[in-house]
Amino acid sequence: MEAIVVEKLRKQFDPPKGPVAVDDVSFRIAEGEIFSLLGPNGAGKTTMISILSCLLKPDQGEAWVGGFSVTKEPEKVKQLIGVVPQEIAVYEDLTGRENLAFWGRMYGLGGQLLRQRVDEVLEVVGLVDRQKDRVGKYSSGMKRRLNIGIALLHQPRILYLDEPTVGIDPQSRRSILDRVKELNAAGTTVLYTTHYMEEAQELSHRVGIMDHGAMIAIGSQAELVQLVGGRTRIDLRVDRHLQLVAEQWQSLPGVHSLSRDEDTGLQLLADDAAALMPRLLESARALGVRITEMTVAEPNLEMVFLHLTGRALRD
Amino acid sequence: MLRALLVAAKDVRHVYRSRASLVLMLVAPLLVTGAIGAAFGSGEGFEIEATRTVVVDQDRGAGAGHPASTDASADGGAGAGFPAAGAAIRAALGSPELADLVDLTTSPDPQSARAAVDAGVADVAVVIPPDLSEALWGGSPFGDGEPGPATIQIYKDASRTVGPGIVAAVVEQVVRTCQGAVAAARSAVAATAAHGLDDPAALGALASAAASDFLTRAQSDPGLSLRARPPSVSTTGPERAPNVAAQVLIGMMVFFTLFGASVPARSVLDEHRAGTLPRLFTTATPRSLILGGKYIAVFVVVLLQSIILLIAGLLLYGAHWGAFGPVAVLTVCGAVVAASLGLVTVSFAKTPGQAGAVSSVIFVFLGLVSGSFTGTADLGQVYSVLRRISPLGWLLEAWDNIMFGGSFSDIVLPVLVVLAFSLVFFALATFFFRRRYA
Amino acid sequence: MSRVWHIAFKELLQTRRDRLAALFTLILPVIFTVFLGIMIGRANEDSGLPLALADRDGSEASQTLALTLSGSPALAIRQIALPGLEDAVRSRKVAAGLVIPVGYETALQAGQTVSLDFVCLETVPGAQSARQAVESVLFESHLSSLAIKSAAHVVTGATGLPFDDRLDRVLRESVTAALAQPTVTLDVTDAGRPLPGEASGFEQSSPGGMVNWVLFGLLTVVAGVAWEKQRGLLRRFLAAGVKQREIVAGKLLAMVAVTFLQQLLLATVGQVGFGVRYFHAPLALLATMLSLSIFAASFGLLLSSLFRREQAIIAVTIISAQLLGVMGGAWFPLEVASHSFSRAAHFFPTAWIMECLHGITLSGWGMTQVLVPLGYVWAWIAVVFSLAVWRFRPD
Repeated sequence: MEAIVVEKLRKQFDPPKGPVAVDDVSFRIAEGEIFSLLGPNGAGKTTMISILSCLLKPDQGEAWVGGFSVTKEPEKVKQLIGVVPQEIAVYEDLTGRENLAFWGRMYGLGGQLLRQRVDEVLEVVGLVDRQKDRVGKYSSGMKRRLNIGIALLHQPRILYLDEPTVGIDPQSRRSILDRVKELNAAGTTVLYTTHYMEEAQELSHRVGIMDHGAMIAIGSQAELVQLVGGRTRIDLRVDRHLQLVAEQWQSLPGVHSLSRDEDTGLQLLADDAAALMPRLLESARALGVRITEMTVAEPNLEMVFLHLTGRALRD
Repeated sequence: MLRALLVAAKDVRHVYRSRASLVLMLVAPLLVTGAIGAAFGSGEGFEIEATRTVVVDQDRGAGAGHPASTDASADGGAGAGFPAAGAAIRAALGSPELADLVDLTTSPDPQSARAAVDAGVADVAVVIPPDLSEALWGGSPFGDGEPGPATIQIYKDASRTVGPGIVAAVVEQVVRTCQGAVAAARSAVAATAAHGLDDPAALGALASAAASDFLTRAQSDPGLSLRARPPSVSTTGPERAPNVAAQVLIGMMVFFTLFGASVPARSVLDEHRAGTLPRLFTTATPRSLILGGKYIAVFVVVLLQSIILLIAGLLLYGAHWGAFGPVAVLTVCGAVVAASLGLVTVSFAKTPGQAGAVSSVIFVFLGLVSGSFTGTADLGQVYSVLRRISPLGWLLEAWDNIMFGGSFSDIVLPVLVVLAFSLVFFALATFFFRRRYA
Repeated sequence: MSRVWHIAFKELLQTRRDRLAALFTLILPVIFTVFLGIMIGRANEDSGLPLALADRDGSEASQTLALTLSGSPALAIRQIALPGLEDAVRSRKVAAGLVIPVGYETALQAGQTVSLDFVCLETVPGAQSARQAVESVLFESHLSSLAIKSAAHVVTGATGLPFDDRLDRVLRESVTAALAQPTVTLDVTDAGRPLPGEASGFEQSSPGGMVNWVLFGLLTVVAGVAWEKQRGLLRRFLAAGVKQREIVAGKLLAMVAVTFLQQLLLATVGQVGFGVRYFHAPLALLATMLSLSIFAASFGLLLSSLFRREQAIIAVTIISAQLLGVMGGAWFPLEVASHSFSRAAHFFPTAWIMECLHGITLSGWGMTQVLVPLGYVWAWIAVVFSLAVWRFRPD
């Protein structure tokens, strides 16, 4: 049974000249699955979530959530889904508990059931102790957790989380990822968008990689890594002339692709790491550059993205 | 110092690039001025709405033997030639001089006249009683008995005071004129009788003669007249009357420069929220210079705003602001005080939103107290003293002085007071900003 | 429908917690109303309109005139030398000034027409009343001097008596006595149902203030919606299955409640503190206040659905609030404005609201009288509300 089916969706803002945010995208998410949409900022992930939440109408194509059409049966779709928006959409002048109670009513809950669900959700997001404090006094991690909690009130079968970990500390991030896994273990289907490769790797049963509105690859992590064709990843750091080094190494035989990371880091996708490494050392010596760190690793989703687009995820 | 100017230039550019800021700073005051200017005319030829007046003239005249009437209803006795009082009232209300103020119709009976006022078709009904002329002319010295008092009813729309006031004044004037004639007649009779003359017929004729003489004199001698003029500043110089739009625009300008000042002042909080202020603080530029730059920006923004508004007032509304020197001093002075107020109201707030709301409240309050909204109320002497608790009240007083033809000497005190206020506000703002950011 | 109530309740809870909102919507308007009320009260208590008088002639005739003017209950005469008089008028310390010119007595004796300078600002409403009062005093004194002249003319002609001091005194006494006993009186009554007590003189500024504060209150409303839009809260509503019209209605309900409470408070302060007779027609008052609240709330929602950026919203709201106030006659009574302006003003719903409030407080209007003007306001509400729902976008 499929929780979400997307068929040839297309959405353009301000046609005819505006950007195409989603371009002919199709995919399916099975019930009980965690599916991540991975892609850089502006790839079209939030637009996709908006369409699947019935907030935006697609120009072409169709999508079904729990078997209901997002364009024709939005009310039924909305009963099935819980949406965690990218923004922290909570009222800062209300307490945590008041926020949950208010949004619970918006989801149509009331009476004893509402009170019970508010208590449960406070437990789930770990805010029982702070439930009577105004949200304005919460840390950003707590606000993020409350932001998620609101979407859980009506026990949705399907949960959308749009970049839920942006701008928070590692501890809060850890806590959020754990909650997502628990919810999934309890049977909730999760659609998760992120531009953090590590999150997608850790959480997802399957990943869809988006770029410029198009779905460029879909599969489990193992399947996606296959796309880079048994190549090896080499992470390097050099002490100077990063630009120059990057240009030189790009053209070395055996280097499949290369991306720069921060100020001194480089990632290479090598056809044969053992054969390539001496050449790298030699080239560095010739340029008067010292290699300060070198790691050989299995390819990851970052490399897949690099392989497919020629750019790093965080470019 | 150059760096402070760089910060200032960035902020000024930012404000003048925002369409919304421009609307608030320039379009709003001109629009409101336009509306109020339209309400009070452009200063010349201003006309209030004509008062719709219904007259019910039931006056029968004074009857035979009295000098009351040439009216058809009366049969003209001794002293004929006086108009019937009712007709006189009608004639006065319908006179061409009052045509712009009184829109006169007649009605056959009091009920329908009152109904017209009740229905809002007329603003005021004047019901002249049947015994009006009799009450005026019927008693001694013209006749025998003492006539009962008559009452003219003025029935008016309760929400109107000005128009019905004019109508009542006209009616009163006609009645009083008639009573003046009676007074002349009575006192003539009394003085003559005291001298020993007691023939009733002769006294009656004397009374009529005195009354006639009075009415003739009343027509030919209008008495003292009033010449309305605006207050002048120098008793020797020419009289100057700024038009209504100019007076309104000054109030509006003073009010809206506060908003002009608060926009760049709020940028301190905006930048704090966006993280650019902390970043600025990490540079080698001292914090005092950065805040100084912000102050300069606020001042320059408001100064430009005032200059543009003054020129716009000149071009759009034909405003004459006064001599260049004092105008320039007041413009700068106004920019200084607006900048200081903009900064101090922002310095209390924590977020830009809060600053926006807090400052709006304070500005509206100051505007009201200072008399920025000319014509809101006539609050008399207490108010004119009380408005001086606000620097804007002083500033407006100084503008008034030069608009009515004053010179430097007329604005020295207000300018000094305004600058003293500004100094206090700047000090307060600096104290709060430093406490938070330094 | 229950969602509408929950949204409204949430908004009210937030308003209650927001000290600034409380300050803006309740405390400040009350403080200002009380302030204005006391000022107007004191202005009314003063024995008449303050009129500055400069006697430049210093003659017996001019002093007599000054004395006569002082006798008028409508005026409070303050003798000020000339430069001070101009200042006093300009700074609105007095309603107007009157200058008796040099050579006044001589001109009078020579039978020449004398004209006095009446110094005033045309934007000061009291100036007109002061002028009327001065004219009426001048007219009265003119009247008695003419009567004396006429009587003297006739008496001397008939009796051959000379016009001496004695005759002058006799005539003056009898003219004064005759004029003091008017046989005709003017009875001025206000149309409409008679109201208990007297008008307080606060009937223009109290309703005007009420309308202005409700309009200024738009700012908090509109900024609040803009903020929710920015924070993605409105999108979350839609994602939760709340309908657009439910969001609009919920917010509208809360705004109506807040502004209604504000008006109720101001009307109570007006009635209890300053004798403005609001509550004799509770139904009409309720209908008028609700109409104003609903119009203002719909208008606020329309503005927040048309503009996105905080700056733009503040700008547009302040301008519209001020224009609606000015055009509605909330700043100054429309009867003192020009004819065409007054007509144009009645295009705006605020003018009709003011008309109802004046009707209630001055003419004893009840429900039947406010129906027609309020019908016009409701036509506005229908249009503005429909536009607001139609244009309302959560992001």
